[in-house]
Amino acid sequence: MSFRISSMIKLSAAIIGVAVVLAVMYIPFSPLAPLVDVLNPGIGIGVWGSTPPPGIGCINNTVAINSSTAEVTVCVTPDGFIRIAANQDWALFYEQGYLTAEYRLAQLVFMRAMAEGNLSSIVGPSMIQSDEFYRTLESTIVAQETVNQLNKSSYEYMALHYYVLGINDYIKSMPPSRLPLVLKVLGYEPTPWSMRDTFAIQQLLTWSLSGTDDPLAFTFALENMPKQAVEALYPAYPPSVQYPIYSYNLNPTIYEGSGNARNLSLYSMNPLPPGIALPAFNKAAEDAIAFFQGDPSFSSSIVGKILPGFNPFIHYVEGLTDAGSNNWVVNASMGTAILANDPHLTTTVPSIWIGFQLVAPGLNVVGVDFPGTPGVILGHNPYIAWGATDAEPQVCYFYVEETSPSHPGEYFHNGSWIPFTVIHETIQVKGGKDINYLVERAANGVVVGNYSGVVIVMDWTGLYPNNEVATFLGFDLAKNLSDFLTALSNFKVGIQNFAYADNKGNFGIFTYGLYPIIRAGNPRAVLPGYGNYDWVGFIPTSDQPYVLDPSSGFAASANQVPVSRGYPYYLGWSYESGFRADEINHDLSTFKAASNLSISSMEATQLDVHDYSTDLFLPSLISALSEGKLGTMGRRAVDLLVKWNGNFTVDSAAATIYYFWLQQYMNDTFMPWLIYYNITRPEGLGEFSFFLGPDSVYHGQLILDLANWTQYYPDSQWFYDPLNHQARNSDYVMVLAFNQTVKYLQELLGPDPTHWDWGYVHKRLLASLFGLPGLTVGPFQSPGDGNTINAAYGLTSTIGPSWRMIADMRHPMSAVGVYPGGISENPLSLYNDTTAYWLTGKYYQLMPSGLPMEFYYLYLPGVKP
Amino acid sequence: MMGKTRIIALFIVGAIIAMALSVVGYWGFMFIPMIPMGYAMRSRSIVSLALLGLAGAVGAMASILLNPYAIQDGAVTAAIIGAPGGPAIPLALTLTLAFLNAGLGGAAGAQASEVVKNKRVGKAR
Repeated sequence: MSFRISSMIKLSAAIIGVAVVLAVMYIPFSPLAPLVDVLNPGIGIGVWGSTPPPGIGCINNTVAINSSTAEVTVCVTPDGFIRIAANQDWALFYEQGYLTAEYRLAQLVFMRAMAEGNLSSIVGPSMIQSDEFYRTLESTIVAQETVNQLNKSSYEYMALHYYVLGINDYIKSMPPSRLPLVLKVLGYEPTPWSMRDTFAIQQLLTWSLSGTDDPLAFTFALENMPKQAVEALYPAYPPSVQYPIYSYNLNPTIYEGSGNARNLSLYSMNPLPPGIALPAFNKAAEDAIAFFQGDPSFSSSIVGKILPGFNPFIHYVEGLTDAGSNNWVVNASMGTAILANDPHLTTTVPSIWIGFQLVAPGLNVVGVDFPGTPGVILGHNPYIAWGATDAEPQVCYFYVEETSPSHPGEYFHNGSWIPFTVIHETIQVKGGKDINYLVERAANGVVVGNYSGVVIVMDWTGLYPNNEVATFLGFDLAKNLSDFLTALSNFKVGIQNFAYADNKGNFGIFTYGLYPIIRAGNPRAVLPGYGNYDWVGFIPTSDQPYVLDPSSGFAASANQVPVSRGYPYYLGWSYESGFRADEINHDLSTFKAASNLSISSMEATQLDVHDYSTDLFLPSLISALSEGKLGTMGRRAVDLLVKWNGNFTVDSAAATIYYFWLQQYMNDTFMPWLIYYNITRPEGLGEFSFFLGPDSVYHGQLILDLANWTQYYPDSQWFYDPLNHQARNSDYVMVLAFNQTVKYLQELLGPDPTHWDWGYVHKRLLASLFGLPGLTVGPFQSPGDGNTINAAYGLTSTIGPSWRMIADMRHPMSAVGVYPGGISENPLSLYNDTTAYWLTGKYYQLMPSGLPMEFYYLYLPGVKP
Repeated sequence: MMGKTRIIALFIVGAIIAMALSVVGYWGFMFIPMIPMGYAMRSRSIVSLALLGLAGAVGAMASILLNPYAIQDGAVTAAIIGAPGGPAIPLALTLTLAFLNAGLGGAAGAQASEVVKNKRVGKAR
């Protein structure tokens, strides 16, 4: 009997064991799919069955849609480019969509989800804040409105239609083995693409190029500091020598007329609306600052962090950040125009770019594209070349609304109480309950902060329908300056310094777009929202900055202040230091004087790692150190600085000393004042560049003050330490910072300063676009810093020249370019093929020899697409 | 001798069935055919668990190796989920689950056989 009971117990145990195993296999561990699916060993089904996309090579095929057919040639080349030649333009864009999906499907899925506020539905609750942020930006709504306004008989509509069709045909025909691994792990089945999705991604990118929450934090500077301090620390125009892109000398016509600049008060706190108490307003502003942390580009990088918990997607997605860029155009000998461009965006794998050469009747363009967008974004065709840098004007304005408990749900605007428009959003959360999220909108923006009835809204030019896709398709087809400017007229939001060069020898830079105008107040801070400070229009195109065929022989932009003093309109104030621009101007002047403006000298300029700030600080530092009190190690460090040329090469120990010293000098000078004026963490201390934010401290506005004082006002009152009531001058603070630096580096790198190589502490990392540390590439020892033309921001740089291109338009087939990573998002194929070239400063010829003849269409006589 | 041959034959058949189920993606159901096989094996449940579990793991592994990229895929998967050691952890997890799924099915079959046998013995008494 007992034997029988024992058998029954064992049988029961076996059955329970099976049940437990099945539970482990079938119950998902959020956000992952159930293990039975993820680890399925079936052919093509689970992760074990995945196959990479096709590798390098060319194929010819016939594309048939409905009753139309077209001949298409596709070549995948080892330089990171997919080349498509079609004898019908619709087939070209169909293939581009199809191949983009084939090589970058997960990227499309995640970028769309991010833009439309749907990440939580894929990766779970960790991304709710991001979803709330992008829902608030109304990306989907604006994108749909843009689609509704498209002209259905336009070239753009045709391109979009077939591009979308191509993506969806790939998704439909894709065998299970080709579903990206990252989607298999998450158990996500891609849904069809739409034109709206393309414009939603456009919104994501334009936000990364133009979005800011600076006015929220700067309000605290105005509130806490006396006017004298604001004027000294935060001048609205840089105090040091600058090379404005559109200087008065290069184009005086844009300085005529009367703008709004003279009516603004850029150093005063704006009045608060009636009934709004300052403490509550401050809390609302802090609330809004915290809200912006939902945008991953505002968050610190995931790189270097250890995965918290079991959710590997907790930090998705690597923020799309624009830290700066360079472009320039030069008039070389015999009327030849050369263009160079290197936009400094997040360097990821897969890259945010994908290389394409697109050939169809009337079109042969080569360059890089954002996946999800038809055409080429930056590149050249046989007639023109173009590039872009962020112009960094202020297109985000913040308002505090006048509200009242007696008018709940309303705000006072232009003399009457108006209800907030409320949009009900549902955010689906994987592994959790749906969230009902309310987006509220006023006449002057969307609500981004609300504390105890004090409501702060943000107006952004991107909150209104805008069609920047049309711009790039227009560029792709442009044959001359007129075509280029017609296309540029579509570009409104993420305003860029668009460099232009053509085969007729024309060269210039244009920064057209929507620049809001307000009549009064201080746009650098939160404005009153009752109507008097709203946008009243935009700067007329005729008054917008541009420079064309300047007598100087070249024009350059590197995110520096765009215009000279005296430009009649307020454009913004938060620009880069201008050190890269200074260095570019120096290099181009030198090459021009030597009659050596060529592709090779432009390459040398793009790869220049001389930090111009050393020209400003180093002589003063060495002078101060020669008389300062230093230890033995300090003396040895000084010797290195004395012999140094200011180049941030990987083997330079002086570069390491200088970098850390400058950070420390900035900190020692400004931090006491920021603390003295009660700038706190919630108000942005250590977050915003003007409050000694991370890395951007190195190239933000304060560094220009410091350069100015160090060179010309060494006894400035701002070297005083208000916390310790200590009288200091620049020499004192420089030596103090130097001794602190030497002590720090000794602990970090050992006792011998000659071994403090820059490459030991400064790396480049190609971060996984999906925020997955296991899929990153690098780190690599890297030259350069945040101030060099060949930029590598921070100590572990994930931002840098995401694309380098140089085109001599007299010989456009000789144009060169390179981007890091490769065509594919699949780590098993074409994932990291171009990185070595990029890292070592090599370039690919954008139209290599040996391609099928159709790829030389419009370049060689008699060739057809 | 006969018993040993039967066990080897059942192991091979079990591995083939496991591979077939794996290839078509139904590896979660491996335990089902293993129940009658465990019953037919007429061995102790622990032996059935070990042998048929091993058959399940072998079948799953064979299916995995049909894809030449599989091991690299495993390494990428490990990188995605943040697991160290390349493909080792995903592979170990997969094979363990296949082993337990199939083996516990076999053990249940073997134990059912034991129960039936005991019942008969009881009735005979």
